[in-house]
Amino acid sequence: MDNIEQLVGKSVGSPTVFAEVFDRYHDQIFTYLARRVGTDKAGDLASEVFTRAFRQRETFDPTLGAVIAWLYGIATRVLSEHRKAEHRHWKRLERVASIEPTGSDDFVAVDLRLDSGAKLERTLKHLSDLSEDQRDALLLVAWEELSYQNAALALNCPIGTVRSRVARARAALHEAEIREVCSSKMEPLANNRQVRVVQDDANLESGSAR
Amino acid sequence: MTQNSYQPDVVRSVRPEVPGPSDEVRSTNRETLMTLIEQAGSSGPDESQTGCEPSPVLIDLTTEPNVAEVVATPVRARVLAFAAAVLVVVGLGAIVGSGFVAGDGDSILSADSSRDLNDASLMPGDVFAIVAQRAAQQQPPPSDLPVYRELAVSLYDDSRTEFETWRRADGSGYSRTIFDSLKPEEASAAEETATEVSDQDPGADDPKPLAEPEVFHEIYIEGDTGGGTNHKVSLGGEWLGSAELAELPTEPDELKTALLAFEEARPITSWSIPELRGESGVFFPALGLVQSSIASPELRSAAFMVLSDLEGVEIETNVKDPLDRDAFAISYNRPELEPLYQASFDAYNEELEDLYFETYGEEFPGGHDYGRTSYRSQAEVKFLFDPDTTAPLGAADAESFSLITESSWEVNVPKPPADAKYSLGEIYVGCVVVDGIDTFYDPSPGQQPLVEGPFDGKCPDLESVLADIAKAVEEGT
Repeated sequence: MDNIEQLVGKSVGSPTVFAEVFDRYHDQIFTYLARRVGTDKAGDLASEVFTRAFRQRETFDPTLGAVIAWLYGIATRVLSEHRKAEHRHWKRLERVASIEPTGSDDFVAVDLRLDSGAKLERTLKHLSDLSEDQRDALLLVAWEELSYQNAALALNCPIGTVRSRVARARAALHEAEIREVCSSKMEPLANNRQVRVVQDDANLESGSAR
Repeated sequence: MTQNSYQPDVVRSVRPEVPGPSDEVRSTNRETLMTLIEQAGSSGPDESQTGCEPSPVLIDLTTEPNVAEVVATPVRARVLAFAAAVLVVVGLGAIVGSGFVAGDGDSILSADSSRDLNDASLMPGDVFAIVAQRAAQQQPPPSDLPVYRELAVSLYDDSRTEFETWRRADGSGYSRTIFDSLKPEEASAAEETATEVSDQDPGADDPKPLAEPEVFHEIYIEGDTGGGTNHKVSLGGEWLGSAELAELPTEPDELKTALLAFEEARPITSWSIPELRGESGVFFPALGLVQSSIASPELRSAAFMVLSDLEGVEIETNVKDPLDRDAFAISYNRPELEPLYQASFDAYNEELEDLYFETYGEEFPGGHDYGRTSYRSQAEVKFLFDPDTTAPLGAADAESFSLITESSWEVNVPKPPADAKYSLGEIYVGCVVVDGIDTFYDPSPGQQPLVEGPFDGKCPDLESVLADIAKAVEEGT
């Protein structure tokens, strides 16, 4: 029985066998995309990944690594073409990290939620501030749990480059965290704005403001 | 030893847990792929799969946003590592022109334009210069749709935006938007420096956006909410078209009861404002009805009455808008809401600087959100209307985003403008690098991108590309 890597090669002459690649990996790629741009856009992008993969199936070299790494690579390039959507999604994630639903109308509770979500929010913000190369490498390793070798295949770069990008990403995150913590200790009351929620959904949906 | 707080486990701890795809998404995507597979199967084996030469990579520019047709021929100039310069003509009409465009645009070299770019075998390493010229004629939207027009002026940078929407009875339709400038995708170093100045408290004077070359852009969008111009009205989280609105009562008390019922049914979201539920929650839906172009005059009148009866709402007559036009104002002042509406505004990026906000609206060429960012800096909001036509005038003061200078709608059947076009602007110049797997696009300095790409500097300077191509053609290489 052919393994999945062999199937990709076989699909060059027998296209229908490529469907098995889809069946095996579609959900995993969808999840990766959903983490990066949100579930509402992930479906279309996942479709784009697999149609590209099919068109480029002859470029897959099974001697270099796994099919899933190759698919992650295509997905990452698709994401790079939709970085504005990703940017919006990250902002949404940061906001959700700050404002969790509680069912309470109490403003004090809102403030507590903001505090508890602050670290999560900061981490997400710092992740979004990384360069694309560093973020791609770090998230493929940390979120998608790819090996460095597979991440290298996905990113089409040497394994040493992946290692250095991940290391630099970690260092940048660490530095940003230290900077933020120091800043907040030195100026605890510098920012007295109490911005909690800017736009109510009723106003958004009605389009009453431009 | 310092503990690095960002070990992978920490990053992994913020990994969003997302649901897998729905059956519908999976099924749709599989169907899309199977269609492609069937097409490949019916066309026989791909002969390019054999042999040792790198496989050609076909760039299907017709799938790129706003590109309706691509007609061009690459001419290889391998000795220069450049393959070709091509002319991309966007639109459904005839070719506007073709050929190499070099330098200042005066030296136009001839080229065979008989082949579609998609037939070209682009080899890994090839570099193509692309010039997209003005759009050709685009089939106008159906003419049996009533039209709603609106001209708005941004009070931040005086840029103008003109909306025209052809709508159907259900609220769907086309929108035509003309706007006169594009914002930079990413701020330059100078802009970033200037932007820092804008990081101050709400209400402080933000610097205005840097001047952009005035280029008019025009685009059509079709959508189920009137092309994104909100011609459907949201009540309780549901989008209602004119058919549904026609079923609403036109007696004010009954309408208020109906609006309350809608609001009570509205799902609570993580960013719902508690104070804007119940009767207070009627304000924005009622305002939406007043401003709607698909609500009947009777319904709008009833909505006016509902608004005037709400606590915190004041109706002022004989006021002036920023253009000194006569107006009446509907204001809503709820002091307890004040903290909820404080926000600072980044005039450069047109985004709030705080994290709890997202811009929304149509995607315009270049991927910019434009003209839909709104914010509140105070608990009091005020909306102006024309006293004669009751048409919305928009902004009440310079803190608001835009001022509607004209708005009207018609119940008869106007014709859309004859020169309706898809347009990507005047000229887009850039180059495409084919690296064996993917394509990369870099814009020429000072030009807007045709297709967004990583902009990772893989393209050489376009001027030199074009000059080298011109030289190669001249030398017959």
